[in-house]
Parts: sequence; C-alpha cells; structure tokens
Amino acid sequence: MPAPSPRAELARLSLAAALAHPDVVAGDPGPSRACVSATESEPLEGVSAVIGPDGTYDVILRLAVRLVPLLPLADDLRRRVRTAAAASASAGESGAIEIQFADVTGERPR
Amino acid sequence: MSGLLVPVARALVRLLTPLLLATIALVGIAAALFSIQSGTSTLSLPNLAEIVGLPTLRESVADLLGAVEAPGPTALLSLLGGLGAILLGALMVVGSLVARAERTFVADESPQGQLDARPRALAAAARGLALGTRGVTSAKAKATSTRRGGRLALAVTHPRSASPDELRRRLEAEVKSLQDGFAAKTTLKLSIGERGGSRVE
Repeated sequence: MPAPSPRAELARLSLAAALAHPDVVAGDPGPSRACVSATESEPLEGVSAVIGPDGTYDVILRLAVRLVPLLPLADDLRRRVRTAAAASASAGESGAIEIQFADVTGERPR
Repeated sequence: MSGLLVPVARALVRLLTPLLLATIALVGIAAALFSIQSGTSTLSLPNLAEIVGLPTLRESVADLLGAVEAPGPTALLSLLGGLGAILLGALMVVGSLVARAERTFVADESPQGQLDARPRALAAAARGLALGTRGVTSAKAKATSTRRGGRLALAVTHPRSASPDELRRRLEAEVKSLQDGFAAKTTLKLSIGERGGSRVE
C-alpha cells in the first residue's frame, strides 16, 4: 500500500483527534457527502482537508457532539487537532481549522 | 447577476417541473385510455388524434415550417423562440443540478478557522438545555438561518404550579450562550402542559 499523502494523513489524524474527545459522538459526511476525505485505505466521514496557497492545509471537521458548551468545545478540538498534526512527521501542516456542528445529542442533566 | 441566477433557476424548476410532470401524466393517461379500442372507434388513437385536432395542427405546422424556411419576421420570431427555449432548458438544468448551499449559524470567523452549527444542531442544543431546566415538562425547538440572520424559536410546556416568569428567566439564562455565540435571535413561548414528547426541527 502506498504511503498516505500529507493531506490524507492530516485528515485522518484530525478526525481521530476529534473522535477521541469524549463529547464528540461521530463524524458527519454532510449533504452530498461534501465532508468526506478520500484516502488510500478508506473514506473518512466528517473531515475534509484542502491545501491553501501558503502550502498549509485547511481542515474542516463536521461533527455530531453531545450537549456541552459548543464554543469551548470547538477551541478544545482545534487544540487537539493542532497538537496531533504537529506531532506527526508525515501529516501536512494545518492551517485554519473549521468546526461545523452537524448535530447535538442528549440533554443536560437537571 | 450570478447571485440571482441560481435562485431564479431554482424557482423556474419549482414552477415548471410540476406543470411538465402533470402534462406528461395527462398525455400518458389519454394515450392509455384511447388505446383500449382499435380502428376508428371511440377509444382509439386515431379518434384521439381527431379530438385534439392533430390533422389541423399538422397543416398549421407545415405552414409554419414553410414560413420559417423563408426569410422574414416569422423566421426571426422562431429563432428567438428557439433560443429562449434553449435558455430556459439551460436554466432548469442549473436549477436542478446546483447544490443548495447549506445555511448555518456562524459563531466565529477568525483566521484560526470558522465555527458554525447547522440549524438542526442549534435546535437540538436549545431543546436539550430547555429539557434540563427545572420546571420544563416538554420542549420543541426550531432554528432557521437566512441571509439576514438566524432565529431560534423555543416552545416549552410547564406544569400549572410553575411560575412562568421564573421559568422564562431560567430559560433565557440557559440559551444565552447559544443566542450570543451564534447570533441567533431567540423567541421563547411558554404554555401549561403535561409531560409529553419533544421535538427538534
């Protein structure tokens, strides 16, 4: 199997970092599966990485999450993705990270 | 101009598609009905052709085609009509194929990256927060995002014993983060009701 491209590796790492968060339920492919990354092995639903003019990759994460404060969760997810990308030698450098909340599940305990 | 093209194309598709489908269905029903008998019987295709005046139409079309072949105003009108039909067809193709942009609530557009939420997610979050509020027996939430901004409508029921003013205050505090974070104009509707289903739209 050929080595994954920097784009595919960054997409895989970003999605894995997001899904490892306890408040993230799943990735969401979006309408017309617009937020799916093709990789050498399998399509990744809920993430898309696009190279920008400066050579960095803009990452879009589209997620279903649990009912928690959404803005802090987005900040936490961005941090996790940047950390995961920086730790990998084979992943492309991440640029802007867009977080899309596709669905929210559950209710806050009384 | 290009911003107007797609909405116009979509409107044309919405308007013309049912008309075209209804026309095709009616023609199909008529053809099926008039295929029951043969020859020149009442329910035969030749009789259907007579009823709708196909022989007369054939003569008219022959005259028209003759006029179109010759230079003159009829030829020019036919040319314009043909071009108009091509344009209409192209517009309908655009209206059918161009994906509808997803409207979302945008919370943050910093260089770090955008943060947004689908209306369904925002409505689900509002409903979840409402159901977690003491005194709420059921909740329905609907979020809509338009070019002019987003709206979040939350309707909850509460027992007769609960104070509506107190409950409204609690709910406003609960959804404040959504309202402020995603710039959603929020409306709250409280009514007395028993515990029942809850819905997100």
